[in-house]
Amino acid sequence: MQASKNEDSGGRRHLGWLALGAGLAATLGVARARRALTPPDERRKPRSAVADHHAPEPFAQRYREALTNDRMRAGLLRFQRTWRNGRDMSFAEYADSEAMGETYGQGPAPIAPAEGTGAEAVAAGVELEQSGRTFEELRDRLAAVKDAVIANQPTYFAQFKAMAERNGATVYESASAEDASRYIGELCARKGITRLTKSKSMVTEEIGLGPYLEERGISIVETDLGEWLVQLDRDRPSHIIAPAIHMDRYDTARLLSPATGEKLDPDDISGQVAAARRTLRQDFLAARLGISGANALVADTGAMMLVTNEGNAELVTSIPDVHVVLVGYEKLLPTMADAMLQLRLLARSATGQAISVYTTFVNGPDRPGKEMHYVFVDNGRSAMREDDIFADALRCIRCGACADVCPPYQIVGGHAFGYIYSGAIGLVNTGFHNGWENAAGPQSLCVSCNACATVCPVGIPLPQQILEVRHRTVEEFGLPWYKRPVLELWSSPALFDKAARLAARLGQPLAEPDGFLPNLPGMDRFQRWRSLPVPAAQPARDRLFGGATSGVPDAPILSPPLLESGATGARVAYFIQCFTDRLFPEMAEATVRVLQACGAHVVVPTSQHCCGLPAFDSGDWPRAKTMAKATIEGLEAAQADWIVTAGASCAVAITHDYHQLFADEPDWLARVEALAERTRDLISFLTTVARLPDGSLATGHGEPVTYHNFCQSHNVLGLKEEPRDLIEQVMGLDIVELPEAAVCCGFGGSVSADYPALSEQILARKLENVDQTGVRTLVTDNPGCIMHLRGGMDASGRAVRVLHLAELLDERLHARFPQAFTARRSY
Amino acid sequence: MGDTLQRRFSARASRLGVTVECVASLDAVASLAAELAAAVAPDVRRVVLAPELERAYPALRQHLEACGITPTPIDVINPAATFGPLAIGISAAALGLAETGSYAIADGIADRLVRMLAYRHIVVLDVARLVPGLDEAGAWLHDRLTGADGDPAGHYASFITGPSRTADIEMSLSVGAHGPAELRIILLDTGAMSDGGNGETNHAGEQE
Ligand code: SF4
Ligand code: SF4
Repeated sequence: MQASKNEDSGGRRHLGWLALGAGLAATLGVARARRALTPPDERRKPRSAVADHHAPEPFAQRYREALTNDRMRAGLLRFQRTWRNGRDMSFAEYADSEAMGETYGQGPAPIAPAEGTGAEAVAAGVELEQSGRTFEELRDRLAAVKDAVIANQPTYFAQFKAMAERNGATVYESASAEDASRYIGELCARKGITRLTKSKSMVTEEIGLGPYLEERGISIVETDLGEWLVQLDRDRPSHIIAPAIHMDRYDTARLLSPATGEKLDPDDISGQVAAARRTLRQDFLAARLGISGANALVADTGAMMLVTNEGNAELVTSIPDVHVVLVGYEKLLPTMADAMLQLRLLARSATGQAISVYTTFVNGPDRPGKEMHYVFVDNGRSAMREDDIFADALRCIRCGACADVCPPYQIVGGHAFGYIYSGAIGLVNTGFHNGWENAAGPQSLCVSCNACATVCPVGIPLPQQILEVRHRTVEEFGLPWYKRPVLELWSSPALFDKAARLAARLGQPLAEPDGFLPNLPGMDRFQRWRSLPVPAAQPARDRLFGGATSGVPDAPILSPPLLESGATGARVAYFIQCFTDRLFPEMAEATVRVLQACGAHVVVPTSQHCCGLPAFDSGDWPRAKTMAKATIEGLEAAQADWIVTAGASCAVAITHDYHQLFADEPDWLARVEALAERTRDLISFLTTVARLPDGSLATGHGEPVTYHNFCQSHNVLGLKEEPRDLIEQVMGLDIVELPEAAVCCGFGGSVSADYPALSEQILARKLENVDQTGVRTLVTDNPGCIMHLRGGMDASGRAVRVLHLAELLDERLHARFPQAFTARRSY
Repeated sequence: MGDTLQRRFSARASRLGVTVECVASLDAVASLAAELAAAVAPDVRRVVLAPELERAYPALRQHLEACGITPTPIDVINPAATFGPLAIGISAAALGLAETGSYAIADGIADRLVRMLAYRHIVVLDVARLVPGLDEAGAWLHDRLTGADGDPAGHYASFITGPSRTADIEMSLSVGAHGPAELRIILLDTGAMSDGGNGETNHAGEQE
């Protein structure tokens, strides 16, 4: 299964290029991706639970097809923007409702769990703060409830089962996905049913119920309009709650016209809906068996909850004499009060509604002759529950928010960005439900922007779980062939240094007047849309510690102390970051000047290399550990009060990712914790340690700028207002707000090299947003993104300069204290 | 001073395209139904009453007949014949939720057919049955489904918030996906009239 076996002719062409300048390749971090991912070993038996003949096309094909669909991309962009506004407004309105004097009751009194089920003890353990209406408060409450259920699932299940049976329902625990289908198939056969109605249920997709029944002569009529469209297209949902979001009105008219027997006008969407209503109405009335999923199962009443906007679930569950509920165990909730909490989060997260139009509760058969069957499906859920890292994912309430904020999802849609389930949760749960070989492709599209983690209404650590999926994928299937040599080189400081210097020597004479590389043969798909910079003749390490090869020398004095600062006298170890070092040494000097202007005593550990993030992000944890350990040792040796880097992603690596990386090495974990406490990204250092007074760097003039929030600074470190305060309060500059300021720029570490076409499209969204501001300076704080954005500006002919916040600070420093600097800046 | 349950309920429901009006007698419910029925061609003109509604407001039928309307009986076996494409359904609500503008009901199959298969739907809601929000509704639901409220346990309950809708085609909102395209909620404020629920569901000072 090794990489070399998979080299195709394209791969060999690129190896030729690699031979031309392996050093250049490594330095630029541009892996030559001819193949998106090493396909799994052919000999490995697929472990998918789903009937394979109905499995989706291979990932590479889904990805390729998605990229050609411009209409889908435009539709998804509109969808994401509309969703974001609606979702944010609906949560804000609810949070504000308290201040508006809207008092609600204390909620239903806690309900005593049914005796003898053991749930009494469990219920007593769920002590929750009942007030608080912000998104975060609601989220944390529901997450705690869900965790209690995950931890005590057998107890809640037993309670639910006892109640449901008392209500007259039948409860069946299927042994496998296939067994669940079999149960339903036999039920239909027993009743002589050959046609049934269904309201949306992702579990039926998960276990492949449709194809199973079809093979046995039983047809399912999907009644959710989106699901029906997807069914008519013989396709699968591309979004958890908006299954046909990848289609436009022409697609839908094309599908609905024959299905309804009416000639439908694509531009008359209401007319299409009305025709669907007329046709499906007959199916509703004729059906003798209805299948639904459930949004929640309330243990203490034995009731199921279902939400829809169309009302199809009410018809599917009411009219037929048999109602089958196909459901996973994770849907259990202790009480009706918990169900109300879930409702408050679910509709707001899903569609920005305060509540869905139809919220239905069924508590057993409602009339004589009616049957109700619960079919419980495990299909990998137990394995998830027993897995420390993934158990949290069972909190999912299937709102789709993690797809709605996801930048790569917007470009390729849910067929590529997911498998059965789409969006971040699909990347996480596919391995468990449908086999790890099917998770391998989709997970590789995640840019680790962490946006999903900020909106998930049950606080699932999705980005970390996706990295763990990637880690397991690499352990099982190996690294993509082209990544191995790059990471091998990257993880060796000496080789990397040689290669980088070689690349600079080769690149410098080629440099165009604008400082970028000319178009290189075979590099079109990497360079056409994003110019690549030429490595600097003199890397930052040479400028900051010259010939020193060991120890922790002082940085050269680039600025006297100039500012009133809480950092005065502090010993600060400066961590340069790879791109800053090799591509943007002036950024490093600017950072040192700013730190010194704040009165810090800046030292530079000479042993520093890469923090290991590229390997960690690639799922290559052994190499990541090697680099991380060297970084930890080097920074510890600096014996500094603070470790500061202007490479925000490195700061996140040290303060967050290292915890995940060393979770199984307690000794190192302790060192990581100690180090993380003293490690700051530049912005946090300036705002929490230096705490520069307002106006310190104001001169009374200066052009307005716009600010791009680097995803991880925003989503992981929570830096939202901090950079703005530095610009507006400390530097006295105006900010023209960048629309979607915190949406990823598309760099995404190696994703921009793995999937250049994807990265190009995400970048285009960012650049168009910058155009809206009309300003000439874009500021942000992560060097990788700066390389990406500068390249994009250049390739698209935009005259917008992209600065690191350190560089902007440095400019203001020069403007404010011109006499302090005799030498001219190097940029 | 301050907002009231009724104002909040009306504001939230109206935002979803629900017409909310407050009337003092069943008379007004009957005339509204008559008005809507008049706009429908005679061959598909139907007014269907939910059994729960008739139980709560037995006098409504007479009011309707006084307006020249004979309610169509519900054929549970062949509902298509009862409703046709443009029926007007009238049903009762058990609660109104100010938090969301929803109404709540625990009902039987015949009631459900009325509120799902009618094209236009009129809901009669006693103002005394307005509650602040989901917390109260959850408590009510629990009691209703378990029979803890003293009545036989219900098996099917719904919160309904606005007309049936879909945005599955290009996110464009269309009403009447499967259920009613039009929802009218009539808040019945008969003042002296009591169905025994007003004292306990209203909070002092919150009623207009
Ligand atoms: S981290 Fe970003 S790219 Fe990855 S799944 Fe979440 S939102 Fe999508
Ligand atoms: S993972 Fe979170 S955001 Fe994604 S669908 Fe589940 S609950 Fe919603």
